[in-house]
Amino acid sequence: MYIQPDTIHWDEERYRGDAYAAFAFACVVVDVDVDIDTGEVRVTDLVAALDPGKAIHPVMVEGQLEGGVLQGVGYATIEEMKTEDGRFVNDRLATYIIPTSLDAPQIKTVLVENPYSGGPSGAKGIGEIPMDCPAPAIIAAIHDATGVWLDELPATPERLLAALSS
Amino acid sequence: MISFTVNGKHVSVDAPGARRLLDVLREDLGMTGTKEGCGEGECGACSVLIDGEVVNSCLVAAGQVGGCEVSTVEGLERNSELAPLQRAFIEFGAAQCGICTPGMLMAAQTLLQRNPDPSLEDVRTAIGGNLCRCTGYTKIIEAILACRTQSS
Repeated sequence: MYIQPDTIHWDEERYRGDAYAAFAFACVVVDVDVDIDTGEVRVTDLVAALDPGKAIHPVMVEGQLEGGVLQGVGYATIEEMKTEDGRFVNDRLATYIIPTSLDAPQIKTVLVENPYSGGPSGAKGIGEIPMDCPAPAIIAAIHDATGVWLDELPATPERLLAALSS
Repeated sequence: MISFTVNGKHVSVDAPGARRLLDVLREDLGMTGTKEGCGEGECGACSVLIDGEVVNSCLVAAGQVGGCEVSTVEGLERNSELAPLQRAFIEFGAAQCGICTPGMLMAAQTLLQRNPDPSLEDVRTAIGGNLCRCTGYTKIIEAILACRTQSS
């Protein structure tokens, strides 16, 4: 049975209170190379800082962060779930392309520990947050490099060339 | 009967020639160290060595390995001791969900045998056919680079 810690206050009837008890914080900075002839975007370096509360197992926290940000890089640059008549068109690894070791940027992680009293041993959840930052960072970096804002993901060569020529 | 060696041991299996080597290893021989990822040659999780070459065992028919030397992840340890590369994977946190790990180890071990002092780019290229969704490759690459002088 779930027992709410004393430090969290949530009113189930009125839906008021601490809906998200432990806000995690993260920040990502990227370097991108943009080929303005082909429209190819390559993320070369990525630095990710994360507040995991207390890092119970620092190596695994770093690993979660590194893996999550690379999924975010894929989401921003190459990964796209295409559907047709309600079915996935690219439903396999031959057609749904994810980053390989040759596509992955150099990833550096920084853990900024800020133990949270309501979490186990001071920890916060870190499953989701690594994926949130790379796409906005990459789109901003592409803007920095080219002057165009892309408003659709992923930043494929086709989309970038179209934006550059308009 | 198809006869070949697995990690130095002679084996004979009564399997149809078109049966996938992956299934022969996992189901007929009970060696479940080799994993199935995509089953279509894209992800590299099922990587094994045939006569020293890294191959996707999901794409190899059993009939093709007659007389060959097959090496799997089970063959990396020596006298019940993990190989340096396996210890490095543990130490650096290079395995998360673990499905890519056996294939990564086979690809990395082959690289280190051929080139004991590979560059970062050599390592990235050597595991370029092995997809990992958990680690961002960072700790896998660190673990392989840490074994540069330990391997011969």
